[in-house]
Amino acid sequence: MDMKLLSGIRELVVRCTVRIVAYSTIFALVPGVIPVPVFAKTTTLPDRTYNFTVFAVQSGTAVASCSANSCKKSTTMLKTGGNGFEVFCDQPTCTVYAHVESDAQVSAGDTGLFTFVVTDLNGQVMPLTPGPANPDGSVAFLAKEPDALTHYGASASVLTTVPAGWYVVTVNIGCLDAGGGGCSALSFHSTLSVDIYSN
Amino acid sequence: MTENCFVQTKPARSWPVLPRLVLGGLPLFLLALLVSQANAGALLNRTLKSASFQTQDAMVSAVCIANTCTTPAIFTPVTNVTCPADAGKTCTYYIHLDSQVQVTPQDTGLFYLLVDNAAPAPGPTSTDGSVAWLTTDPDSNLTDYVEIKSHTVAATVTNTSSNQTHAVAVRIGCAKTTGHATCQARSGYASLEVKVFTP
Repeated sequence: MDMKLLSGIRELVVRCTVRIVAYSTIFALVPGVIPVPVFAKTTTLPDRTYNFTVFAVQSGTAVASCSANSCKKSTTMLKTGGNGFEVFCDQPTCTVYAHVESDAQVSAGDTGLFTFVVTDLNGQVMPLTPGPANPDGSVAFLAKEPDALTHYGASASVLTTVPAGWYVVTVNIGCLDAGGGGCSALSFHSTLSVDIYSN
Repeated sequence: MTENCFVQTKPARSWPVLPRLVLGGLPLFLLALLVSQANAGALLNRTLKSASFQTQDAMVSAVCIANTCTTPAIFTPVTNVTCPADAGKTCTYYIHLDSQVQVTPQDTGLFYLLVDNAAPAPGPTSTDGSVAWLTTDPDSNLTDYVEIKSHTVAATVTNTSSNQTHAVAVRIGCAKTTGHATCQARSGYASLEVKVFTP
């Protein structure tokens, strides 16, 4: 075979390998930002019967900030519960759909996070299955945007299945420093709706 | 007054009355006229019957070498949602999508929301079912940039048989900006909510 052709093929293989390794490394080094590209994994929850909805509204400022390199910080933005407004499931299992809308912002170049936390009344954290979310319940709403200050407004949704009982749903806003020197995230107006369905 | 590092306010300007009318009043009047002629569909007195959900916790990509392109649906299998009504009757589907997204710099990222392989009516979407979620942003990329985008449509479906199912498909796509050879868009964590109302 022509040595020039062989050399070209080898160069192409090396270039592709380097690119794959580089991309894989980037994704591995940015945890909590976006899932690693693998085969699609869809979960379907068909034909749920609606029970009721609980709302939580925040019209004050929620701020999370930290100043160290690569730091991560979050604070409560919205929370159901208290005074009889807990989410309850009176079926063997229920599907909980939590949806947040917020005028959230994050500092330039950093990662803004919503973190969904579902706890029972003993404070036990329930797994978010199917989510989708990172293992700690976080979902990035904006990451690595140098013009982050021009980006207002984000929404996110997660699903989970819970057994009969009473629950509190909390949404935290947070930031993950990516550019060095700390980060901050904040929201002024946010709404959380939690729909409960019978399975 | 509350001040924060994310909001910059500009000082108010004082404009003479006539230019203000010409520059402000006339365009506003024309805009109001245009808006009044827009197709604003109102769907009144619907009764919620059920809801179906899908989640996606891995990436789905669209690579485009034509002017625009789409991929297989973000959620596989495509969700088939039952309209609990007799033949000839209608249901209203409320379809809400939240998705982490990325698109190559300066290109346009698109969602396609399709019901029975057609654009939903009343939508809103373009005639091909597409909605743009980002365009001409130099900062967007496929490595570490992340943003959550959402869109909601309403779709009226008509049964040709009793309790017919209708296919709801969501795709991600992109459109190349002038001078680009290709574009690419990706979705990350995504959730789809389909509420079924009658009629």
